[in-house]
Amino acid sequence: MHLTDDDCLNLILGLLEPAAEAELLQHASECPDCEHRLQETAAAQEVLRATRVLHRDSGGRLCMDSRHLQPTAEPWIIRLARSLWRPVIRYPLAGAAAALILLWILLPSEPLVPGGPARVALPDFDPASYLRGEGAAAGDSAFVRGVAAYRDRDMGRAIAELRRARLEGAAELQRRVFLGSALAWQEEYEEAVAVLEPLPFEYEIHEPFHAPAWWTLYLALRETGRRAAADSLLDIFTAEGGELADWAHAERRARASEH
Amino acid sequence: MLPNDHGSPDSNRLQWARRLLELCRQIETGSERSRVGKEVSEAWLILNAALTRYLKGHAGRMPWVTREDIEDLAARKSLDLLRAIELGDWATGGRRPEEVAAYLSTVARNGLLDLSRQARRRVRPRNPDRPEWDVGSVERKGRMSAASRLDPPDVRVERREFAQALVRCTEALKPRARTIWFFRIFYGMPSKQIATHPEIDLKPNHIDVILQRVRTRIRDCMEKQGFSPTEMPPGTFVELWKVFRSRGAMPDEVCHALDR
Repeated sequence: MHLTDDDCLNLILGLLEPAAEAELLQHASECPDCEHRLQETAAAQEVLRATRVLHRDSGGRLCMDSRHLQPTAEPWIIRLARSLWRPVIRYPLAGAAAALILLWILLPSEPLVPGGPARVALPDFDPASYLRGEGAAAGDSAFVRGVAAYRDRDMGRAIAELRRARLEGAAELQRRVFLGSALAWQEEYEEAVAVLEPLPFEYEIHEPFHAPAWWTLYLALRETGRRAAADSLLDIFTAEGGELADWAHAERRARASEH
Repeated sequence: MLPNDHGSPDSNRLQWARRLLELCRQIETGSERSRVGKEVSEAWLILNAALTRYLKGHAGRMPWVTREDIEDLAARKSLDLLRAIELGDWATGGRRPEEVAAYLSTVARNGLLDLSRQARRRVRPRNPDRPEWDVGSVERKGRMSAASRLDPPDVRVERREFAQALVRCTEALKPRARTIWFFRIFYGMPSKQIATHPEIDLKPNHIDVILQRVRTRIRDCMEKQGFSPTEMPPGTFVELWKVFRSRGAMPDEVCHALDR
């Protein structure tokens, strides 16, 4: 007993008793032709529902229309943007954007990734702790004044006073550290290199002066174009670990982003 | 033969016509003319389905008639008939289901003859590859017929297991996603049509996204159950339709939507 077109209609309209429906469906599941007939009837009904809609006109007369996609409500910000998107606004905006892009291309740009610090100040300290014996007795007032001027960020005076001071041993190393830093601060990099480069950073300059002073030497080397020496310092910093290694990594990332 | 408490076996087959007559009585006596009521919607679906069925039957002798012609004719004629019912121009009182069926068959045939007269005035290209008896999808028809009705029982069991696995996999989907997948796979509806279907109401590109996800989920689920991706074997449609799309299987809100 194959399914007739009437059976298919009755099935999809849900007009049959459950037992009769089950019997027909059992047959359809085993008979490809009947299944196909049922499938086509069901598809036709869904296509009708998807493509056409009944409604009444103002006079109450039945009408049929094609279904259309409902326009979805846009968020207010999109509607506002759409309403403002007129030539009188669009063209000046486009011009401004083009000018900005041109400026961005032409002007020298800062690296997008921040590098190591461009300047590191030495911490404050008490010069008297370094001036013992003869120096302390003499009071080496030039060194004391130089450190005080450095603390006040009066770098010109600090340089003058520190150059005048005459010390020995650890106090002399400390004087050179402050003098080199002050020179770099004043962007006198050549002289800063000359002062800082001979210092035994690895074993005689201790924290909290070790990292700022050594980094200052790197900056001075970089700014005077001594790239090879500067790069080798970065390698040393990386091996050193701690704050210096962090700055060295940042510096390398910034350089990579520039390229 | 189905159990029958309404007379001849023919009239039992014509349950749809009996239901249509009931609806006609309700529409004729109803006073609701400001909106499209439940009865009108249901009568429209029945008229359309019945006319489509007769149009297909008559169109077997008219190979130039396309599926779109049939859809269009069925939609127009069902609207004309609904209007006639409301205005009392089609008096259905005292009619038997067989008479209703015969009348709709005549309407369908006349509609095709009108179309034929119009077609003579136009030049229609004839598709030599299209079998004259077929007004549906050639590919699908060919595929379905390829399965033999004499398949051995073990093959039938295998198919049933496939269908049941697919039912289990689709049960886990959200109803709307499942309906979208069902419409595409079994009814071949394009995304735009699915999008405008009253049970779906989404944008076409959203439909595509959902379909993509559903396909992936179903494929994974079927693979877990030991079934590799394949064409749907015969019987699959019936199993899924029974569970998800037959009126008895659908929740009340969907049935109400069907009637709207």
